[in-house]
Amino acid sequence: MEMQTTLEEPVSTAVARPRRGRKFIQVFLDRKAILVGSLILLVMVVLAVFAPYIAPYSPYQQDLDHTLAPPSWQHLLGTDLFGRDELSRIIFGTRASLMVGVVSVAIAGGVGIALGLMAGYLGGIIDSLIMRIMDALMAIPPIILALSIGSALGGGLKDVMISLGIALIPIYARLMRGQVLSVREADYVIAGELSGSSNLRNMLVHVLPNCVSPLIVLITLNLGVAILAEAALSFLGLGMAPPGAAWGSMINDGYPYMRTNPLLSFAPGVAVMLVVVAFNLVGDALRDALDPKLRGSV
Amino acid sequence: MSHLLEVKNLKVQFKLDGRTVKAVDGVSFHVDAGEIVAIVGESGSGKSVTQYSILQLIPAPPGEIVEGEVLFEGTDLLKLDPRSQELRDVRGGKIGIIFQEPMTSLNPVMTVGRQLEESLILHLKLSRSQARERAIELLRRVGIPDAEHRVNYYPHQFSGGMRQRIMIAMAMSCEPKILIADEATTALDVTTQAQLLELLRDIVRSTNTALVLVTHNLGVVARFADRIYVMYAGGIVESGTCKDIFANPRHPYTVGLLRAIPRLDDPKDRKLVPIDGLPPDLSQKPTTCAFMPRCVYRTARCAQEPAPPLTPVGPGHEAACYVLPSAEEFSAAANAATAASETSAALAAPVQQKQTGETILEVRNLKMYFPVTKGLLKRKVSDIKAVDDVSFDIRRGETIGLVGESGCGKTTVARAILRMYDPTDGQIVFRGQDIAKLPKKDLRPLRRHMALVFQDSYSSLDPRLTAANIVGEPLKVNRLVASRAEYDRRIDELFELVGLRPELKHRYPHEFSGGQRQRLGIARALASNPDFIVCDEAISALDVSIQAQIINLLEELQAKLGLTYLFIAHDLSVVRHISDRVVVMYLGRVVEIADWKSLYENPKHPYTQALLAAVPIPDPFVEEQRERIIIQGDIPSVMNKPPGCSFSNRCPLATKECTEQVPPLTHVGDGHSVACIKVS
Amino acid sequence: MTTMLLRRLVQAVIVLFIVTVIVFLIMHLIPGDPAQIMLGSTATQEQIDALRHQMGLDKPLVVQYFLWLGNVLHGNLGTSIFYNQPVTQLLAVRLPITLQLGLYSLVVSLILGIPAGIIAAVKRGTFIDSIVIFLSNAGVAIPVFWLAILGVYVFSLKLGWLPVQGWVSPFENFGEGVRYLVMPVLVLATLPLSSFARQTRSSMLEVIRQDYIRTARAKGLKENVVILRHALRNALIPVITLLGISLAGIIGGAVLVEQVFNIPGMGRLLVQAILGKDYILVQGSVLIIGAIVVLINLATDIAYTYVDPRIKG
Repeated sequence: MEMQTTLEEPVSTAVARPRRGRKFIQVFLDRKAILVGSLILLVMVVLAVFAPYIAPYSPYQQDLDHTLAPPSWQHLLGTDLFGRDELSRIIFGTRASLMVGVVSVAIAGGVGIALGLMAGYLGGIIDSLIMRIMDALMAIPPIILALSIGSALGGGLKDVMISLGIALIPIYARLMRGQVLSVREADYVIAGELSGSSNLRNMLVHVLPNCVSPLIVLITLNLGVAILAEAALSFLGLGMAPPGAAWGSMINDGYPYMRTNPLLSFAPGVAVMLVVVAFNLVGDALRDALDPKLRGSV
Repeated sequence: MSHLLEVKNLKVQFKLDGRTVKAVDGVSFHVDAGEIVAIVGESGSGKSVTQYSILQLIPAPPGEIVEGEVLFEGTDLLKLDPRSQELRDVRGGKIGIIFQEPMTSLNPVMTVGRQLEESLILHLKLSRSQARERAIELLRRVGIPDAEHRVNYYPHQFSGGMRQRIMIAMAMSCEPKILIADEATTALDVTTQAQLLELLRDIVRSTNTALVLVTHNLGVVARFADRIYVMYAGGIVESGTCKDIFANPRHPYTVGLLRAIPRLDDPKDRKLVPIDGLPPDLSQKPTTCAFMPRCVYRTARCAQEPAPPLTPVGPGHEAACYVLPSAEEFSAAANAATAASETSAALAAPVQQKQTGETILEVRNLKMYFPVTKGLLKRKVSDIKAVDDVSFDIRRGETIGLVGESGCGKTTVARAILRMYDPTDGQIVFRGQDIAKLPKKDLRPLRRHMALVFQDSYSSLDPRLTAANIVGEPLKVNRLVASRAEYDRRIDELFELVGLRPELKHRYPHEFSGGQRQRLGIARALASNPDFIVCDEAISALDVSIQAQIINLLEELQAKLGLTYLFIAHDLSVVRHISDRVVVMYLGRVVEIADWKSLYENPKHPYTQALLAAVPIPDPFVEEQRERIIIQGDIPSVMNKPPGCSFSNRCPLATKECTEQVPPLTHVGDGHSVACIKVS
Repeated sequence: MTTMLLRRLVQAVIVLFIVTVIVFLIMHLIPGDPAQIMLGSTATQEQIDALRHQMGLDKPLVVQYFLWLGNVLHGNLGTSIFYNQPVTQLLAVRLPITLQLGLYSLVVSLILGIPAGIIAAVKRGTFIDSIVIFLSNAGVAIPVFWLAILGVYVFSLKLGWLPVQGWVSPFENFGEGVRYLVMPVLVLATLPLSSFARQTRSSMLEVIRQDYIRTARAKGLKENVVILRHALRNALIPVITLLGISLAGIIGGAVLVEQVFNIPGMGRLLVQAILGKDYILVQGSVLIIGAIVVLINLATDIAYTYVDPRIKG
């Protein structure tokens, strides 16, 4: 049967293992998936940064003589209701997606990690309070929570970032708390304490660095989640104001012309999927590389 | 004559991270009906993989049985498909296995009854109700009290010893021809281990089942085995009858193993002779003799010719060595080694006789209770009295051994002394100051005077720091060095002190071997020049040949630096070897304190006596003549201590009055104290 | 065990209470005056003040909260600003539709996801495993609403097998109801299905390498008995944890799916209410959703104790 070896015997003879860094890179690169994922992300970042130089047209330039045009050499993916070039709008849409992803995850990560750290380290009533609030936030589906907050704030791109950021906080708080709880009991943290280290030093030198790996993985995977959620919100009408290009709203705008111009809806959807898959591929590979225990399990 | 089981030239390898680890490399052995065969070796020797391969139980991939034959009742088991009916009939039916880890080897979500019945229904074609009846009978046979009820329990409701009994019942349920016990008692307490081994022997003797004992414990082997195979680095290096191997070992590795372990009947001043170096990395195994790099008898021939084959050295006795040193050569080499290390120790510490000074630590009526809470509001309903009224003192320069089985509170005592816990009550006077109630802040400056060496060297070293940073932490936090240069110098010094090359200091913990990591842990403990070091099971996770290295290191450091040790261990032979005085604990209380000699030669408390009787001695001749009383029953949980004397429910001497009062620790003369009303 | 359940229950009540606070705060601490929004930009200050007074918006926030909470506890979720109907009435019609969608999707994703995960784990490294990995990776990356549109395009517009959009209750007209249900349910199930498959696969792989599985093999049990009797139950424990989170995800997804398929469920209602700033309706709906999720999580915790005997006691 196939299974990961748990026999201590052959493993414990491995005396001279390669250095940590090399091992990490080796496992990381061993997976072809990672190459594909990183490549997609690289392309996306380049598209977002250099959109004005890469896109054949301006995303706002209307051509009312050529509305709803089918794909052609002039317009590789055709044009929309206002005769705007679909491909150019998708390329510009990369900006909104990546920006929402990065900013909202930064908010969620920053706040969530701090809360989790507090809950795990201080314990007691503060822990209970923080975690019950997190439970309550998790009880409301993230999309609905983000939609409510985002809409109440006004509904612009900035509001979407904030609302998504809030909706994702509990995941980080929970993970971080669990990490702190398990790491602070570790023998090496106790050893630090017994050496006479202060609590603060112990926290900074021993606890925090050892909590980092799963956080990195979560952040990577969550970038995909946030981008997916942004698309959903903009599909529902929240986010970038109308002439701006966002993939979700493009899918929604194209929906009525499904029969004649299916690409208007499909193409931006494929873009969303590509980015999300790319983040997932990288995230899974990171998990495998950072945590040898999980190697090969997902 | 054909054997019941014959393994021929078995080769097994594992492909891990692009390397091929030759875990088993050409192993041949046989087992005859009804005999007890021991396979002895350290971790990495391939002893377990060999057994799993017989039933094709190794995980594949990454494991792969490369070649060989396993002849059992005329069939080559390796030729069978692992999923075939034929092989499955053998597994559990004709060959039973007991695994090492009782805590993880039973399915946690299935009652033990169902797990037992499963085999019975499968192999013996019993009906469900018949199987249930037989399961209860089997549980009773292996000594599970109240079997009719317990059959419906889940594994987590049993202690480790009980679970291993259940494993035995399961493996024996279908009356197999061969029973393989893979380190089956290693994880258990010494008295439980003794009970289980006796049980195993009784069962296999009464059913004429062959028993294969896979173990690293030479004591167990000496007491129980008929024949022995010694394995090293994936190959068998010596085989023979139990008495031949112990009386006339021929392979340098076998001799090394025997010299490396302390024995209960050793002369006290015997210096352990560790086997230097480490076992080879099996992915880069040399074609020459695998033991050669660690062998003191190696010759030019060993370095040139391929690994030596097993050759007869006597009737039924084989060894794989070109040199085959004689007994005289062995003892000459051992004496030389002892002499050498003695002179070096003598040079370092001019005083040979240990001088113990003033009292450095005084523990008075120490109590460490943990609350038991119940209900919605977590009301405290009772206490777990993990440590209950413990007193002893430690004098400068001595080693106090603290022994006892799991749950006795020895580790809790250590942790309370180091103030990892806040003691419930009592005093801990260290350097003239009661630290039991000292706030953490005021404790910090005292930390540098005491240190701890952990059991698990891996988890006690921060994986994200280099060896130098780990060892240097106490220097930094206590500001013990004035400059960077002094810091570097001190680190190098500490590395050399514990026998590590300073060049290794920029490596990370996982790049060291287990023994090396333990040296790092010791170096860290020494960094702040403490007077007092607690060694909490500091050597129990190590292989015997490495264990000896660390014990010797600790002894040398003590001689050189005048250290005081509190040495906590469950291995009574090791404690005897290293300790000046010994404290024996049982269920949170001290039952006996004495100097090592009176404790081991004249134990007074019935529990101490039982504990010592349970320790096997690695010598079949001594074992044959030993009389032993094995105490019955399991250690109760600390939560359900019997009233009065905690040992009263298992004690052969116990009478009614023992259950009426807790016997106080009473001095019976010559520094020997016992807590038993039957001893005066 | 009863103590544990009781403690969980108390915890659930506390969480629910916090949910009400969150819901209330989102709607009240945020810029924009509901009275102003309701009356439009042409209203005079007097009109606004009058409405504010009528709605109790001129009272301190804490008082407003407890008034609202008191009403909620009496089963009164208020009156929708937009529909001018009691929120409870609006939800009574729409909630069952969303619940049906969610429940069917959950069942579908469990029935397909868990076996897929088991097979992938058992056949690790084979073609089947790759397929499962690929599909489940795609499943967590596809935007639900986009998949819905794709489905409409292929099965309704091109093939004409299924209706484009709308809703017929399967209790009134079973055949027709199912035709309308198929696509929304499958689309909605995609994400939870994929995460169940992934989780089952990885926890199965974890369990398969445990010592007790080796014990089971050493007994001579057939491989499928080892997998189904010994490995599966242990592997399902982490999958159960996923159940609560997946349910929240499904309700979130329903919002989008109802939008695409034009299904008159609570999700659509909620989107309209949120975008139209009908804050009373939003408060009521989100509270109900939160309560459902909290209850399901409670049920999951109870289920846990049955699957894992170690938790009891």
